[in-house]
This record gives sequence, structure tokens and C-alpha cells, in this order.
Amino acid sequence: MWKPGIILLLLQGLVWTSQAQIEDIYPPISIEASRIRVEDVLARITEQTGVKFTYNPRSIDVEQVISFSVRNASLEATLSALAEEVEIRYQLIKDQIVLTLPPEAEQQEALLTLSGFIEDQHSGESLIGATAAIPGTLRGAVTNAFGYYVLSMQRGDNLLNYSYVGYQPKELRLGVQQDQRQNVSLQPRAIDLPNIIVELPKADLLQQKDLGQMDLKPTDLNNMPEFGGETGLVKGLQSLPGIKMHSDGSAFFYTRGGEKDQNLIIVDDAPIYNPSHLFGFYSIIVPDFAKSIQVYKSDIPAKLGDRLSSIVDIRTRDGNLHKLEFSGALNPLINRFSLEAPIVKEKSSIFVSWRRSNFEWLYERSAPQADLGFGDFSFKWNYRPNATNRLFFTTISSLDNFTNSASGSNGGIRWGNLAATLRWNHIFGPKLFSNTTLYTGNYAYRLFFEPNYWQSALGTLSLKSDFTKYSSSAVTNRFGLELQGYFIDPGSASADSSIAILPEIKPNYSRKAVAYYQGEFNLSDQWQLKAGARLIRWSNSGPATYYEFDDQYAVSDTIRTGAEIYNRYVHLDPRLSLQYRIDSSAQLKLSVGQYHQYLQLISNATSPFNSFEVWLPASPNIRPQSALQLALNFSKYFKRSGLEFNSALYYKRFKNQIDYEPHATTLLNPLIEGELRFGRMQSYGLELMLKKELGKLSGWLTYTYSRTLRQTPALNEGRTYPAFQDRPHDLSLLLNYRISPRVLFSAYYTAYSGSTFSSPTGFYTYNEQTIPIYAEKNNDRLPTYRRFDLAFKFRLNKDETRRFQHHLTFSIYNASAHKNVVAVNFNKFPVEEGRPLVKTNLLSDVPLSPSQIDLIRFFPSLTYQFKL
Amino acid sequence: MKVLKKMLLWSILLVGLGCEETTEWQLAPGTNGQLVVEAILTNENKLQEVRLTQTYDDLNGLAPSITDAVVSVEANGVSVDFLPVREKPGCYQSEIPFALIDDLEYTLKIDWQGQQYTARSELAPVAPLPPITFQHYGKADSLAFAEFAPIYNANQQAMYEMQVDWSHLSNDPSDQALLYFYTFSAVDIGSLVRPVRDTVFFPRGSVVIARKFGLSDDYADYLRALVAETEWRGGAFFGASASLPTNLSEGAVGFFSASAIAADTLIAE
Repeated sequence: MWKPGIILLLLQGLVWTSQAQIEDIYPPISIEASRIRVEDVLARITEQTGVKFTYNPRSIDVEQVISFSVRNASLEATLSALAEEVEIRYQLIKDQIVLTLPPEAEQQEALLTLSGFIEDQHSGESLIGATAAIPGTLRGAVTNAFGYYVLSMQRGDNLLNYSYVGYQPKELRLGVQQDQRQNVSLQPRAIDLPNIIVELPKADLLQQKDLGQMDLKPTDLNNMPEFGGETGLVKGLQSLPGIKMHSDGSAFFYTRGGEKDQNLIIVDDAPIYNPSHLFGFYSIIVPDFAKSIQVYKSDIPAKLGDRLSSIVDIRTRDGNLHKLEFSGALNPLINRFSLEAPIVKEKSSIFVSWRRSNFEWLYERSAPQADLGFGDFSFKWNYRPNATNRLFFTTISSLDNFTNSASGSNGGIRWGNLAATLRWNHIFGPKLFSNTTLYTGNYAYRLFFEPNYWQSALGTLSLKSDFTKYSSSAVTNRFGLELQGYFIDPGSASADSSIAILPEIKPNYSRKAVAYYQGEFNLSDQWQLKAGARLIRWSNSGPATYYEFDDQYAVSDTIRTGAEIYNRYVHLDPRLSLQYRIDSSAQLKLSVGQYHQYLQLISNATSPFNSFEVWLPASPNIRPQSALQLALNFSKYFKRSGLEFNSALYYKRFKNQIDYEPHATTLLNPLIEGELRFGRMQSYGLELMLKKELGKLSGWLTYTYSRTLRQTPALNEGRTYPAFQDRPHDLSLLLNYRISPRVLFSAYYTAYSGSTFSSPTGFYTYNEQTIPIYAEKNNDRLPTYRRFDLAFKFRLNKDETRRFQHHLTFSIYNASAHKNVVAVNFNKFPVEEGRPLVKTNLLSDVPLSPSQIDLIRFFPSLTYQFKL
Repeated sequence: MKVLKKMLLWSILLVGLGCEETTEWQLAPGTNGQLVVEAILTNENKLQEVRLTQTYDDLNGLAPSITDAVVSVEANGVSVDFLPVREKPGCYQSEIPFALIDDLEYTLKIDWQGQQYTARSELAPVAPLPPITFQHYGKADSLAFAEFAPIYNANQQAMYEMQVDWSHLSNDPSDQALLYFYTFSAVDIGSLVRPVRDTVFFPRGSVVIARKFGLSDDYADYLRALVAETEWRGGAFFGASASLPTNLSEGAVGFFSASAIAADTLIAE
């Protein structure tokens, strides 16, 4: 049936005051059915007469089952009979029957409020994104980040349907006479290889889906082929459209053309500034600890901000409220264990996860004084003192340690994160939900050779309160306040003064205050408007010393401040989106948003490895970065095939984008701000995604076409140049195939245009050395990146209902051993057996040759996982 | 287990070190044939030299010499002409020996193909040479330079030119080496984590001529960029490539420097 929603919209603008008589020019109609869906009745009328129907599926409930009987009836008589069974009025407009609701049915009576939490029946874990709906109507609600929902309904008996992906739906009949609280537990589907038996939400609840936001399920992560025995958050993110990985072995990623520091990963609101272990090969987020991972690339909610490109919002698991569970994963390189247990049954529980690398056996003989490895610890505690209050405490710590004391003195590098969150949920009333959070996020990096060291650090302490007011079924208001303090050590050093006198790099302090409001307005069954703004005040506070620079970037003045605020920025970031529901399976959303960013990673490295990070705040010399993004999202769900299609078209303009003076000094440089060059950037692209979550075969296919262009007046003679992350084509395919109930096969393929880099356009000789000349910045491109990963996951126990479950996973990263080049050099000479070398003896006449570096050609791993 | 251990060790090495191999790479054509100036005038009383060549297209190309330029150095109203040396194409020697002195600005003037190029520099002082130390390398009688030059010194930037000659020991005239070491007042990731390079070793008794050049800030910036594009490029932590700065006008490349020198000749032991 053809249901052109846009035409309908236009037709609805016409005023029809009476129901026109339909001419009797159509063949007679016969339908006899004691139980038939309205949609099927319409289909049979179309079949017998050729006349088509147009209606708004959110107004007309075509799913309802009726008894219907007409024999050799005219079209007019048939529709009249149908109107007696179903609340509709009909009009013939240009050979189409337009169905609408009678005016009296559109009037709504005062609604009551049903609210509560939706939880996992086995663990008591609150479910994020679960739906509560009234079947046969278009009323529904989705749980928030704490599993809380609010649903408007009519007084009297109501049938409710609760559902969530991977859980048995539950129907509940409630006699509602006043506002009521109703907590619901859902039963997980049969234990199986995850993400295979799932059920999508009902199509009519697709309206609840927020286009522009993507969900990356922890089960999806767990099913992806692993690298080195561990699934990684960042690698999972990189499989999504619009998110591009830096290269192999890197935790950096780029979203819609933004820079690598324009993405924020938050775990229960606390920022994780370096989400990687081992220079980026592993992620510090243990997938089992995550309950939901939401990725915002556009239309970022007003409650979140401070990054221009994406926010990855990770909510952690609360821990089992009913019983103790212990799980783990063992492989030759890494071991991890998790424990979740009730502390006070039904009221309080904990989740603990510990992970440690296991590299010692590889080097203990050859380097007994070395200590190479990493570890992390995650902890969550939740407490439910009563029905209206909940408390949560989350902490994540990680440490990477690569040291050696073979020379008698201990030296090496060490970095770590510490993030902690204390949260209080309070329900003031059925329509007002609040969440108050005190959190801290810290990151420190230290390069040392005792007693000398270089270190950098970044710390945040924040207090925020978020409120959600469910004013009516049509209006939801979200508002809140946040106060933040930042401490940044941008790379200070201490050294034995007999060896070197190092410049003094002082720490700096900043504060931020944020107030936000966002309203969600259901303008009609088809239109939803979100409008809001985020008001930010950023302040630099002393004592501090900063410099003013002249046109040549030389210091023109030195300013010393006392312990007061010496610089301030105030910005209002508006957010607006308009969502239109075309029909029960398709939606369109237009969004526009302004974003500001006040923290930046200062690094002119294009190396994949994250290290030597220096963070700097917005300051008198560094104006806050900003971006304006316009995005158009479209989503369509194909019911028969179970396929979901998503597309996004976007355009972004960035201002105050940081680039660097050629060969800038970013380490131990008190005048580092003088090394920065500011410019503009623009990006645009089209993202396409086809996703299938049901059945034996599931996965997704994505393709992105995008461009990212920079213009910095002080660089490249002011000409526009492609950014490092400008990669026009990006293709990903993830397939999960259940070979048998106990065996899952996963394959992942990705290919994308290589990164840009500057290659020489000429050479000259100086001091007997060959010096390259670069005519244009980023004039060349690395070869196309291609990678094929695969994994087999076997469930070892035959009985899937047993408490003890264990799996064996065999993965190969880059199974085709494709050489994915991360850098090309022109300064080395080939060596017969070994890596090309830099020429040291400048009298040597050995010729130089271009050389390329690739990182991971083929990496198998075997992991044993258990749960009891 | 042994096989698994080897396989994993191999994998870890791949992860940690990556693979690097030679490749073919088609470079975009550039506009070459620009003037290149290599000019380090010193405080030694001698015939000072300037070398003029042109930029070229190929990685292993030969720098075309410039023999038809008019070169002079001027300071305090006095100009000294530099004349081409027939035996060394591209090399220009001062008409008379002279030594640079402090507190004077020296201007290099080059007239080539109707274009006037200039550059200015002042004598950068130099601190005494540190003790040049050697370390055993490989065979018992082989030596290599130890780390005698600090990579960082806030107050004294320097370039060390080390000419090593052991041809008198082997009767092979090619047994010579030229190496450069640097001390900068900035810490660079490239200097901390360098790519793998060949080790130059030589027998005991080799003659080492060590020359230490004092560097002005501009020349130090030039040389730091130079090593960033040569010795330091290709390590684990690398940044964006860029052309080197210059103090020459009109699009010429290279650098004109005035540097004080500390020199010594020693026998490697």
C-alpha cells in the first residue's frame, strides 16, 4: 500500500468540511472475515477496486482486528461499513481515499501518569531504552539512562506492553484511577550466544528512536572479532558510519571530520581522557562493565557538551541484586575477572572488574629487570534505600607501566586514568526525575629516569544536577546545572640540575559553569520538536603567567596574575531539531546545533600511538573551538526483511581550529601557545548504514563519503588543504552468523581511503644530507586501508540452561595480512636483512629509498571465557 | 607451547615495532631548480666558503651546482667577494682569509640569474668542546661515539661535526666517516624516541676532527627542523612533515649562518 506521508501532509492542509459522496464507478466489493486486520481490509478493497488509501498510521490503528462482512457492496457502502467498525472518516481525493480520525476522536481527555523502572528479572539491573506501550494506541515511552519511564494514559483499564531487545515482552493489565507507580521486571530470552535471538521493538515505537544517536550494544562489541584476546570499545566505535579510526594500534578516532580531541568518552558522566592501554592497542573500557553505549554525532543533547564532534556516553552495569555471579576471560596476553553480587538483597549490589596483562612470560628471561604491562579496575555500587531514591558509586582506574631498571636506575613511562562518580537519583513526583552527580576524571602521564621525570596531568572535579520534567504526554522538559573545576599540568619536568636546567612549566586552573534547558514537544503524531540551549561560562583563574604574542609569534608582553579570574568566555549554544515521522517505519530529522570546546590536546604528532599528551585550556591566547553542525537523518525499517536503513547528511563548520607551526615544540615549552596556528575547517558527508539484528545472520553494512578541509592563514600559504582525517570513502561490513546454537562465526571487513600526508616534491643537499621540500601540506595520501577480521565463538557447555557457561573464542585480526601503511618515509636506506635504517655516515654513498611502516599484519588470539 | 610462545612473541614484536620495508613511491612533481645556500662562516681566520646548488626532483638525485653566481659578504660597510672554485663546482671561496667577529651583522648577497638573494646573521658564540668519548662496539677493537653531546641544553645550542678517518690504518681511502650531533634548547619527541639508524664504528687509532659550532636561535631552529626531517623521522612518534625554515630571501632555501667554532683533533682510543 502506498502511503506517501509528505503528500498527506499537503493534503491535510486542505479544509474539508463535509464527507464527499463517492461515485459508484468502482467494481463491487465482497469481503467476509470474522477476524481481519483493518490493514488487510484496506488491502482487499484496493485489490478489488484499484483505489488506493492514504492515511496517517499514527492516527489510524490499522493493526486492530475486526469482524467485517460486505457482499457486492459499492465502495461507498463498504467504507461506510468500515467506518462503523473503526473510528475513521473517509474522503476521495484524486482517486485516493484519505482516511482521517473523526473530530470527536481527536479530542483527548485528561490523562493520568504511570511511571516506574523497568528491570532485568534475573539481575535487577535497570534497562536503558526499554519500552512501555499501550497496544492499539500510539502511546509509548522509553526508559531513561536509569531505567525510569513515564507514560500518559487514560483513566480505567489499560493493557500495557513492556519490551526490550533480547527480553521476553510482558503484557500487564492495569486499572488506573490516579497517577501510579509501576515497576516491571522483564525476563531475558533463553541464554544463548548473545545477540542472536532478539526481538526489535514494535514498529510503531520507532518514533521513540532518536535519530542522530547511535547505540553500540556491549553484546555487539563482544561478538566482534577481537584483537589480542580483547574486544575494544574504540574499535567497535570505528565500525560505525562517520567514525574513522586513526590507524592500526590507535585509540584515536575522528568523528565527522572533527579532530581526535573533539570526542569525549564519559563513563557514568566521568570523563576518560585516555581510553587506551598499550599506546592504543587495547581499550580500558571492559565491555562486560558497560550496560549501554550511546554515541552522539549530531543533535547532542543540551545536557552534554564541551566537545565538537562526538560524545560517547557509557552507562555501567549496576551489579546483580539477586545472586552472585562470577565471570572471566583468560588468554595468553590478558586475564580479566568480574564479580557481581548483592550486598543487601533487592536493595544493594556491587560490580567489580579487574584486568591485567600477562606479558611477563614473554620477556622474563631476556629482560628480568623489566616491568611491562597494564591493568585496570572497575567498581560499581548501587543502593536503593526506598522507592524514590537511588545511590550509585562508580570508579574506574587504569595504569600502564613500561619500565626497566636494568641500568641500575628505574626508568620508563607510566600513564593512568582515575575516574569516579557518586550519583543520586531522586523522584520528586511521578513527573519530575532528578539525577545529581559528583564526579572526577583524572589522567596523568609520566616519563621518567629516576630521579628525573617529565609529567603531564589533567584533572576535573564536577557537580551537576539534571532534572527531567514530564509535563504532559506532549511535552518533556530537561534542565540542569553543572559546576566544574579543572587542573592541568601541561608537561612539567624535574631533572638533576647538574645535568640540565629545565624550563618551569606551571600548572593552570580553570572553572566552568553550565546551565541548560531542552524541551521536547510532540507537536502532532508526526512532528516532534526539540529545542534547547546550553549556557556556558568558562573562566581561567590564577595565579598564572601568560604571554602575549606579536604578529611574528614572538613574546610581546608577559602578564602575571594573582589568585583571581583573569580571563572569561561566555557562550550560548542553541540546539534545535525537528523530527518527522513519515509512516510507521520511516522517520526524518533535521537538526542544527552549535558547540564549543574549552579543552584541547596539544600534539602535532600524526603517529597512531597516544603518548606525551599535553592538554591546554581555552585561555587569552586560545579562543574556544566552536562548530556549527547541520544534519539531516533518515531512518527506515523494513518489516519483512528485518532490515533497518539509516542515512545522514551533514555539514559542519569549525572555527578556532588548532594547527601547528612546522616542527613546533610542544614539550617543555613555556611558550607553547606561540607554536599554535588557528584556522577554520569544514566537513561534510553522507553516511549510509544497513543493519540487521534479527535471525541467524545479523550485522551491518556502512558506507561513508566525507570530506574535511582546513584553512589556516599562517600555514600552506593560506591555501585550503585536506585534513589528516580527510578520507573520502569508508566502508565497513560486520557479519555475525550462527552456524549452530553453540557456534557463532563473525567476520568484519573494512576499507577506507588512506590518510593524507605531505610527501616531498623536491630535495636539496645541506651538510651532505638529503633534505625534502614540501610544496603543499597534505598533498599525498597513504594507500587504501583494508582489513579482514574473523572470529569463531564456541559455547563449550551443551546445556544452555546450566549456571556455568563457558566459551572459547578464536580470532584473527587482519586475517588477510594486508599491509596497512601508517607512514611513508624518505630518509632511510634499505638493509638486506632487517628494517631500513637512517643514514648516519654522511659520506656513505648508499642510496636512500622510500620506506613504509605497517603495524599489524596478522594477529591470532585464543580466549577462554566463563561465567558462573 | 614453545611454538605458541614464539608466535606470540613475534606478534608482540609486530605490535611494538611494526614492520618497515622499502617501497616504490611516486612523488608529485615540484618546481625545482631553486637556489640552495650552504653557508656557515666561522670565527676561524681562513678562506671562508659558501656552497651554491639547486633543488632537484629525485630522492637520490645529484644537486646541480651553480657556478655563475656573484657572491659577497658584507659587514660594517666592508664587502668581501667570494669567487667560484674551479675544482669544486658550486663552491665559492672568499677572496681573502678573514674571521668573523662578535656584534657585527653579516649580510650574504647572491646575484644569480638576475635575482638578488640576501640573508643576515650574527656570530653565535660557542662553549668549549666537551670531552669526546667513545664506547666499544661489536668487535673488541672497534669503537663508536658515546653520548658525549647532550640532546638538551637550555643555554648552549650546538652542532658537532665529527670527521673520522681510519684510511691510514687500512690503506683504503674510503675509510672515512662524517657524522653530526646536536644539542638544542628544546626537547623534541623525535630526539627522545629515535628511529633505528646505522652505527658508525671505526678502529682504535682513527683520527677524529671534532668541530663544535655555536648556533643562533634561528639556525638552531633550522637544524632542529633538519634533523626532524632526516635523523628523527621514521620513529614510533612522528609528526607532520614540513619544509625547513630559511633566512634567505626570494624563495631560496638553505641557511646562512655565522658560527663560532671550537675544534679539536684526537685519536680514538
